[in-house]
Amino acid sequence: MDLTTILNRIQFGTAISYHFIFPPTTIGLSLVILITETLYYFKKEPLYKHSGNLLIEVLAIIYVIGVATGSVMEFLFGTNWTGFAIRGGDVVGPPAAIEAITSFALEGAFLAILVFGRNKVSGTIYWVAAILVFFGAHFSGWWIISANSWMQTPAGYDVQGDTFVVKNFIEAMFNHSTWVRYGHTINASWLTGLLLWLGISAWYKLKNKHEEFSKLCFSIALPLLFIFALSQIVLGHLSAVTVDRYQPEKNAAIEGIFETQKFAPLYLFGIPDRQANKILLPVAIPGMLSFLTGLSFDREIKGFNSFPPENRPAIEVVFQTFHLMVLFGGALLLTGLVGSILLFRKKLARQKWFLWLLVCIVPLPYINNELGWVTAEIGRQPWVIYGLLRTADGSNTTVPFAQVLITLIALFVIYIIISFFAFFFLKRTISKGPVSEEAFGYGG
Amino acid sequence: MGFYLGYTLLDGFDLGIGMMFTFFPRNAKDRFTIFNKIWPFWDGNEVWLIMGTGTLFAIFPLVYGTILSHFYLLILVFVFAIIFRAVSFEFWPKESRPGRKKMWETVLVVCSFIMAFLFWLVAGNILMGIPAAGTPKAPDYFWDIFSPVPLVLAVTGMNLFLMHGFAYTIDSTSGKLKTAAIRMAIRYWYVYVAFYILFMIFILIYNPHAAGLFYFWIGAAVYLVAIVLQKIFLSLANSFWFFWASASGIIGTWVVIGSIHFPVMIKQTGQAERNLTVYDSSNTLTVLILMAFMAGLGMLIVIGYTIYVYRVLRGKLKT
Repeated sequence: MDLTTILNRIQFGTAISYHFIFPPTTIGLSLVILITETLYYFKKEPLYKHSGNLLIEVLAIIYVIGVATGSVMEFLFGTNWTGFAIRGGDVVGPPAAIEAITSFALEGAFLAILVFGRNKVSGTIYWVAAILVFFGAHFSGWWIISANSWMQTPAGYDVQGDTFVVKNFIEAMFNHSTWVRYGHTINASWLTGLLLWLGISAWYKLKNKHEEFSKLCFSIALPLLFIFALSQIVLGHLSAVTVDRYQPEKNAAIEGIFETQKFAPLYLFGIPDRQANKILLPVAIPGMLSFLTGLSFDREIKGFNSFPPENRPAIEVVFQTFHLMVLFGGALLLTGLVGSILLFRKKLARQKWFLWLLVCIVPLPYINNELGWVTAEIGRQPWVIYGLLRTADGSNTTVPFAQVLITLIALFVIYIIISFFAFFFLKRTISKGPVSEEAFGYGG
Repeated sequence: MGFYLGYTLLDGFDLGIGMMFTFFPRNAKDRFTIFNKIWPFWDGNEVWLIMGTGTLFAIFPLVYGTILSHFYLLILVFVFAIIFRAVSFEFWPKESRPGRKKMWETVLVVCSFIMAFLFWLVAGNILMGIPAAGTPKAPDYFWDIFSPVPLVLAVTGMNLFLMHGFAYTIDSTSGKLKTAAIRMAIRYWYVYVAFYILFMIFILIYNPHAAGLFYFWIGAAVYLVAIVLQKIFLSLANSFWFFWASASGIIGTWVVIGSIHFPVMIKQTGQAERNLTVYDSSNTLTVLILMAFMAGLGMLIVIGYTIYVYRVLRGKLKT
């Protein structure tokens, strides 16, 4: 693989990984805000409104950076992956465009209402705005995931010369993996938003501030955390089954199965060794992988070595990212369970250790979001469109190496700078706490 | 490409105001007042750029790929400017430390210049023709980008945005600030006329065949009429119509540059047979129909709720 392509991969990977900090937060917060605004709409108590105000201010900061980093992506397909853009554009272009037209525009317009319009529109319109922001954010996710899912499990297409064209748009968008990956990603976003809400509340509780805000959050978010962590495992399982069915190379890599076999073991831990063709330091449940995949111990799992060497993804990387993600997912489930029990027993306030845990665990869903995507995208290599177009062939190799390097470094530096400021402003906004009308909103 | 037109009409005034801030208004508080007038809308305005680029990707992937690949550095610098401008919109109001506040305002202004300049520079280059996608670059191709017509279009375009920024400022403010803005716009109008003349001259020198094109003269006429109308509405202090006169100047410019090569979208330098026309770079019929529907209907809906949000959130500020 030539150097320029490697740089292209790093650049795109950096840009999208950084971007993916923000949309799940936006989607998750849109859920939380919908909850608080709905409560306010029907019960009219100031607590709900003030909670909403704080969360909307946080969302505003997150959203802007999401927009900035997301707009970058729209261009990066063409600048660094020209071959992919031209050859796959008939299929991948429309969802990208439709996302911008139907979801992004909607979300942005009505977020403006949420941020600036509390006193300018009726209560009903404001609530509708919250619904539309929720809808816009989730709809955005749909188009992006379906485009990426097409790259993973292509369907509904024809080949015309060297380009891939749409044969059946519905089939292409609703391909084999779209639904389950969308569900898994949205669920992940909800976990992200809920944990952010919980983290903020736990922080307030530890400082003995804004007691009502925290109480509201715990009563809603802790049980939801448990439920959604559970559903995430179910959706994760369904995703894994899909991967086994449609991307067997990726499956072999993430599960660490070198030789084709029935009664395949489920590895919980290990270090894949490609030379030795085995997992070092293994901890495994015999036969469990076959059983989970096909509900039968006789289910045959294709081995990593059964595929041509040029088609094998980086097993050393994706095995670890996959297993770490599952491990951390389990940690979230446990947190939700313990939290719900403490809540139920009304012992939450006195368990300071748990409150600290909630604060410290906020980064975990973010880590998992990234781990999941690394698994998905590195696992798809060497393909950019699975089975159809290799990454190296979709890359733009006409741009001088030096130019790509400069832009990559610039991107790094810019994102680091923005992160500092984002943290600073988020911290300040959160320290202010839930605010009333007069303090909320902006000058003018 | 309606999306790109919409983009210039909307983000045009955001960028114009950003550039305007270098010399007007003089005091920071007034600048912040005007800033508040674009604050709720800038994001919705910028979306049009994304919608346009996405639609280009969807309908003319060959054109999309060719443009973005050829102008790699320019596009990436443009993208960096987008990033910084976006966050400056959020960080400038939130900053209370004066030094930092000034820093973010500077970021906003600089990025506005960069975005306006690069947008029209790329447009000008496309107008004059670019090499086919996949052809290796000539060693000094980078400096070719800064040739006469693209540069002229770049500065003319920035000037269009600046006037548009004045137009929006006049329309959104009242009292002393509005009067001051009108006075500035009246003085700027002479510069605006000069750019028109410059632009027309260069276009005709480098594209002599344009003199025979019907739509070229339509575009030129619209632009000219816009100039006249601007003068009239400025003296009448009619802010609403002045805004649309400014918009007409932008529309006229698009008609002019669009007319020159239509239906060729990308003129390939040195290889006329490889010109990318509207017809042969577009996609399968399925996608064309789908996108026509989505883009058309989508645009109407977006315009609809954009107007609604503008109505709801606007309100002139008494100074």
